[in-house]
Amino acid sequence: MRRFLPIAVAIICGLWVLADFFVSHPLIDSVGAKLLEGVMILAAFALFAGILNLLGFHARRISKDQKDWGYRLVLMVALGGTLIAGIVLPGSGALSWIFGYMYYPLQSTMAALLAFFVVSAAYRAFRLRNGEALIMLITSLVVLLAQLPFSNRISPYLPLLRKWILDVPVTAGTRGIILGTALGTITTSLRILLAVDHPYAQD
Amino acid sequence: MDAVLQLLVKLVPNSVDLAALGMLVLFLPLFIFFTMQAKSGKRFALREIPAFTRIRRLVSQSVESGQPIHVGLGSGRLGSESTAEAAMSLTVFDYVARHVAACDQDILGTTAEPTILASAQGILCTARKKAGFPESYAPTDLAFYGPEALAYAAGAAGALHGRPHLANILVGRFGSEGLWLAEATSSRVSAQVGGTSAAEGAALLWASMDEAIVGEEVYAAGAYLHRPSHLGSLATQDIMRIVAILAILVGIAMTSLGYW
Repeated sequence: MRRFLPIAVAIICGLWVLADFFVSHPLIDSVGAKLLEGVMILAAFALFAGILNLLGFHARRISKDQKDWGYRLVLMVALGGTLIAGIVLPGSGALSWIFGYMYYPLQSTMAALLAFFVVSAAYRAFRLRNGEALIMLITSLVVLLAQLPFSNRISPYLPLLRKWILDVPVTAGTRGIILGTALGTITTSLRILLAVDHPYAQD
Repeated sequence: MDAVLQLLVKLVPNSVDLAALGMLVLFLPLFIFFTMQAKSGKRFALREIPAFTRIRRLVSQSVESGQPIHVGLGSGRLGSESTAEAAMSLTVFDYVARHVAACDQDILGTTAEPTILASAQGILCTARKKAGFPESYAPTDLAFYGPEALAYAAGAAGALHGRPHLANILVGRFGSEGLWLAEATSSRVSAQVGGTSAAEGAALLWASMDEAIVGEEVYAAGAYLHRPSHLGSLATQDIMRIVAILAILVGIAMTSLGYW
């Protein structure tokens, strides 16, 4: 029963929402909307559980006196401070100050590091291990060179070649991935809807 | 007949839904047929995807060495357009969790999505119980670092800091944070395997991973790892891909000949 009930509920809810997508009927529409609203409420509860998990995870490591306990304490204090500022002073400037002077600069710093990570990943990926890496290397070099302001001085065909690479092979590859992903999404959804796969229910 | 057609026109809101309904009608019988065949034990030929072979090896290695594996479940969310991808990340986590739990080994899972956190905790708890070590289950073996992608990457990288991990397995919805996480932790793990179906994220992870899973390969994880019943849906997917290719070719021919 413990296993059967969540599977049955999931199938009924899933089929109902699917029917709501295809059929326009007042009863189906209203129940479908309520079910989707329920998902939002469950997601909010899940976020609350997630915060508790976050606090538990770090509190446990602080109590074990691990060497990076100070960072964990900063995280917990920042979480508590932002939560209190949001609940107690919702319309004040405190929250926007936290975001404007702490959160966004930190986020920008992390995003800036991405440039270096792209270079280090590219260094490893473009080593001539096989034919694929060679194609990647040549294509990337052409596209990078063609982005230079004086690229047409190197060759007038370089900007045209870049445009062709982006318009034809890159677009074709991206569409192929999107098409495959769409097919994969449909089959995965059918697996869950028809209870072939039920990652939400404990065996 | 007219009455039925009128009822259909009244019930079905617009032509877009009709196209989707057509796809579903095409998909469903094939899916049921092949899934039943897969469940009855019929084997389907599979091309090798090196990433899944590597995951199997890494899990065995982790069990032997006692070094934990980190499974990054990404930011895919149940109840959104990334639900299917999130489900596949849970499938991979399930595979790793079952094997390491059988030998009472540690595992670390991280996610940027609380709905996935709850599901993954359920999977790990079941795996520990089934293996006979329920006392080994700790909810904090799975960590949630907030729904912001880069914050998740920073948190997960920090979680790997304290103890050496054997490998990073990143499967699910990843964007640039996947590259951030993989590169920030590359010196702390022996191997990195993973991928995503989002085109931009897939390109970044391809560059960073030792073995990458690209695009629709993500949805084949169950069939390749430990769920033979998924083979049926994989066969359906392949047939529908052929149908899509034929439709594209027919479309090109008709447009070129001026019939469309």
